[in-house]
Amino acid sequence: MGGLGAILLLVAAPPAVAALMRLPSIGSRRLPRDLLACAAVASTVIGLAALLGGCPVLGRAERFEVSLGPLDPAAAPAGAAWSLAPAAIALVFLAIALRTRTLALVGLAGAHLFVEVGAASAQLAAAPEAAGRGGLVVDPLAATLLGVSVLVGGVIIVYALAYPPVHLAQRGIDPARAGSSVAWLLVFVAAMNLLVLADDLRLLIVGWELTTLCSVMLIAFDGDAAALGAGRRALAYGLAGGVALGAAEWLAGPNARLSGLLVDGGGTAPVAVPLVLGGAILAAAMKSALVPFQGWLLGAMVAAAPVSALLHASAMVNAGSYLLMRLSPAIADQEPLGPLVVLLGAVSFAAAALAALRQHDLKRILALSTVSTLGLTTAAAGIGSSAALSAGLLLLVFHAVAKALAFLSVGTLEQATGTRELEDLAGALRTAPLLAAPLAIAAATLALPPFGLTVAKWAIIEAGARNVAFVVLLALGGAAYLALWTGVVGRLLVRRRSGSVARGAAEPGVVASADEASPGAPTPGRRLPRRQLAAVAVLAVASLGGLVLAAPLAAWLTDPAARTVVGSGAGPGLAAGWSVALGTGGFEVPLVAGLLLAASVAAVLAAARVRGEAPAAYLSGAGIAARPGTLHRAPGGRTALARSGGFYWGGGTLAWGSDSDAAGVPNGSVGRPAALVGWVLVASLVTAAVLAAVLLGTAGPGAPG
Amino acid sequence: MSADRPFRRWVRRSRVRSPWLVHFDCGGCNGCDIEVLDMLTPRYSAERLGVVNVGDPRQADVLVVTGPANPRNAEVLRAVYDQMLEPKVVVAAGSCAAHGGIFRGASNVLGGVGEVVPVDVFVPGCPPPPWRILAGIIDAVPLLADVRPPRSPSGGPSRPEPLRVAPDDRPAKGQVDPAIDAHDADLESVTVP
Amino acid sequence: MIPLDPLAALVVAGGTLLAPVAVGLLIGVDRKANAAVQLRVGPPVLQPLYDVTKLLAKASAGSDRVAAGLLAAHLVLAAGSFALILAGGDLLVAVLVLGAANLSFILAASAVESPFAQLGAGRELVVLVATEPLLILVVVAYALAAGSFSSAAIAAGSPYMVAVPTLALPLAVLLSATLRKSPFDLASSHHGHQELVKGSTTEMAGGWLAIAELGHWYEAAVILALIVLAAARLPVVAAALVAALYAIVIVADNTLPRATWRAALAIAWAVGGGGAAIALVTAVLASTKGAMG
Repeated sequence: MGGLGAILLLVAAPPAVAALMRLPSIGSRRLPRDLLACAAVASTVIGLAALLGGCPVLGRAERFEVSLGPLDPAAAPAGAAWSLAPAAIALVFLAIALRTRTLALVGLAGAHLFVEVGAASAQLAAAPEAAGRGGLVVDPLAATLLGVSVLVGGVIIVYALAYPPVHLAQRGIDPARAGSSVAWLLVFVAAMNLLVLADDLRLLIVGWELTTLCSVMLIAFDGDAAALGAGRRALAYGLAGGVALGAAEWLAGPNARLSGLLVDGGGTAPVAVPLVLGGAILAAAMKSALVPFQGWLLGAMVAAAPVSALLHASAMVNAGSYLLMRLSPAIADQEPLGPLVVLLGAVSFAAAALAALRQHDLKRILALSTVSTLGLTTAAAGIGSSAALSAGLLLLVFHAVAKALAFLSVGTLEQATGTRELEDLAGALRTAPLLAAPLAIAAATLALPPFGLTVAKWAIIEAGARNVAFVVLLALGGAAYLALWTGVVGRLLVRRRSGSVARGAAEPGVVASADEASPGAPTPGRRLPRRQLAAVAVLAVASLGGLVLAAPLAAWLTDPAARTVVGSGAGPGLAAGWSVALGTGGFEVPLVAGLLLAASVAAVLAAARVRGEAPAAYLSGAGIAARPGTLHRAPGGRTALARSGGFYWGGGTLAWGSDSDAAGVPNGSVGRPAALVGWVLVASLVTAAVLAAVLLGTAGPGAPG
Repeated sequence: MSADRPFRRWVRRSRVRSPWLVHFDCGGCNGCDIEVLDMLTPRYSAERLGVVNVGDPRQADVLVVTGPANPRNAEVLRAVYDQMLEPKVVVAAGSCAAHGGIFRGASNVLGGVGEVVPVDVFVPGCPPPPWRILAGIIDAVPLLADVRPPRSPSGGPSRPEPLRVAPDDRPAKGQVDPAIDAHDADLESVTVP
Repeated sequence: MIPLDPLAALVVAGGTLLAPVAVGLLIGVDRKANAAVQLRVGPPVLQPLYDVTKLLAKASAGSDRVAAGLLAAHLVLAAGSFALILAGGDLLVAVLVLGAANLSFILAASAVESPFAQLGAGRELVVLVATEPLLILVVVAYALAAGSFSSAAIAAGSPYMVAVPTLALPLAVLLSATLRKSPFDLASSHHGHQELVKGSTTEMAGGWLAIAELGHWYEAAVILALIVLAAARLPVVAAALVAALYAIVIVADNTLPRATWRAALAIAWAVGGGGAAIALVTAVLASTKGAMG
């Protein structure tokens, strides 16, 4: 079968290349290493093309089973190997946990190993499945995720080839290690590819655990205290998710398949089905960093920009959403689980967006907005209608491109200026337009209609309109999300005659941040590698393409994907509701796109009419900030006003006090548990209210007849 | 030409009926400033004329100046005036703004604000009562109908020779400088609408 | 795929062009009424139109290029949002476009150097967070009551006497916020005398200020259209609704102080959000009953 070669290119080639790159004779030389990495990226792209050529799923709701040939888990020796593989990975985790000498981690790793061994022994004890069925499935859903992983991931890796040496130099780490970071990125992409193609639970779990392993290695890569701490945290969450998923596999019984779980639970006992699904939901929530479990993703921002981009955009967090979407019909069927997932997603969406409003570290803002967006995709999976699922998938695709762009441009900004503090970058769009514009483009595509994200948000609101709690949370989160990006771009856009961007070069008395003190930090304005800029440009063009791409993508990719998952009985797809016809509802994508273009043209014309810049109005307060001794400068020379940020969210009063304590820990972390409890209470209250209302509503008409 | 006449009339009418004030104090005794603020209270209902007090000279049509011009604030006053967009008018409220008033002749005083900006209406009084300031604004407002060519500083009401007060003929304590008194009397008869 | 027929397109275009005049007159009446409350004569009803014409006729003002462009975009997007409603399009889309218009105005305010403008922009963000959820909730409530998100269908299904009583609360909050009246005037007040530094509009002057003002009038037009939709088929009732809500807003303006940002969020979410939530539950119940009966 032709699929096998393609799959090998997608799944096996990158790790093989990665292994080659670890060889000392290659890893130390830059050129062959880069060539190898590019070859690996090219192999995945060719693999994707070949796979789609062999299994034409674009625009068609079809499903192809692909066998791994002799390596397929249905075959006897390979099946045993696949069954044992998770346990082997669990051993690696245990070794890592032992090295960290953290009791809780060792305990978790032990539990993980126990669950995986249990599941493996159950698999080995059972008779192998009749051969002939492939362990992998190619359908539009898998193809979409595969496209995101391969294409966006490929761009990120090309960017990463030029990034790590600078990053490592900034941190004072041996540049020779750069090769291994790129190698881990390649393995990461391959693991993700395996995960989305897997139908057999064993393959899925191998992919799942490998992405956890890669993320932990990459987060802890820098080796300093912050990185190791973040790595430990990521490991804890990853292990917890692994335990949940492993337990689900164990419960699901031997030879279980994802597709089987959707049809009457496959061979699984009916009692166990909710538990299996619950385990999968828990694992997905950990992987997608949904709100109670977002800790690891926020910590992971210590890693280099390409790593963050890969985690947030193309690989790691999408895995959770993917699993939920795949299981969406089963989850929506199980009464308590469906609404629970919807609520989990909606709470994540609102809470993360509101929390992001008070942040001023760009990467932290991006991380929280990722949590927020994934909450929305999760909610879409919980709703389970065809349109909602399609919208969620569309959201995932557009988010991947925009978020990759955002992270890479923040990485570029950080390289050029040495900071990612929003306040230090205020005015970057004026002083360094080329560096900051990609971030503004990403923000625009995340916030403005009719880019894919807004279209998807619209579709999800309309699909879930009857669930009052869901709509309320979505409305809150949507507003916060809009305000968030407005605020970020607003800060980047500030005109500053006095004082220059970043490092406070022109502002005497500004305390240097820790980054600046490190050796080898590049000077501002240093030329950046062309490859990096090219990668950013590709993603920027792709993001802007979202202006017109939403409708075709929905028709060709996400609607068929939703149909293959939920069947054509679950209502019309997303694109069905779209037309230019007014008076019928539906997102008038071309019309709104035209409106946005008209607004842009008006903006350009208006800007062209401006004859010269006016002096700042008298008493408008402009120009007094740079002088020492004014209101804006707190004792000790710190910029008090600037540090307080443009956001008036939390942190005490509207006063110009600082919103981070002496150690630089944002105040936001203090009240988090309390806030969480509050959210849960609010959520349960709202749900109780709605349930009561619905019960009354159903009882009402029946009573008097 | 005839087609756009109603439109032109509408524009001129709009300009006259929407005088937004910016109030600038050159540093007198603040008596006039209190009266200006008084003028803006509901008692005098300045809003019926479209008067709105704005803080930003770039959004204002009428500059109400109080206090005498002096070297320290001449530059600022000029900047405020220059930042206003045409058409615009200047109303000097009070004796000090007209000719330096009680501060006239002091070594740090240039004289009235007319030495720095072109004044269109002088409102007499020390301080002028609120209704008189409002009357001054009503007098000035017709000048807003059309864009006028740039104007140079107008000087004081009758532009007298700068009062050089020799040390020995400085007025005795408690006695008002007769020249200043005369100017105020002049203005009373001239500018009241 | 039925594009608008030429007549309907003409009506939409004409309505969109005339909307600012209507809103300007309404604000003129509003200023008159406020003056009456404060025992003043008040400006002529045409005063807002005078003001905008005067600003447009001012000698050309220098400005920040980016801010000027964003102000123009704000005007176009706000007008487009109103036109979408007028054309019978999806209400939720219109509201999202209005969000984009808000975004460009806030960016225009924060793009300039004045710290007062930036402070104003920050507070505009707070108002956005306070009111944007209400917009979506109101739209969803209408859609649940009418069974469609299209404003044409919602207008055809009016009047919504079941949902309206509580929906009036969020609509009043939205009207108050979009007209920049107390307690939601924390970013910039509509009262001329209330403040010397105008927050978000600090660095706008001449024609650019007029464009900002026109954009706000379109925003107000969208909110007014949302109010009218409750009884679009009964013009008298619709007018009475607008008058009633406007009266509530004027009373609130003259009795309540400017809110802090926390208070603004609390009031908007508690009063407006509460009303909207009750309306939503009512609409869900009514439609399930309808489906069963």
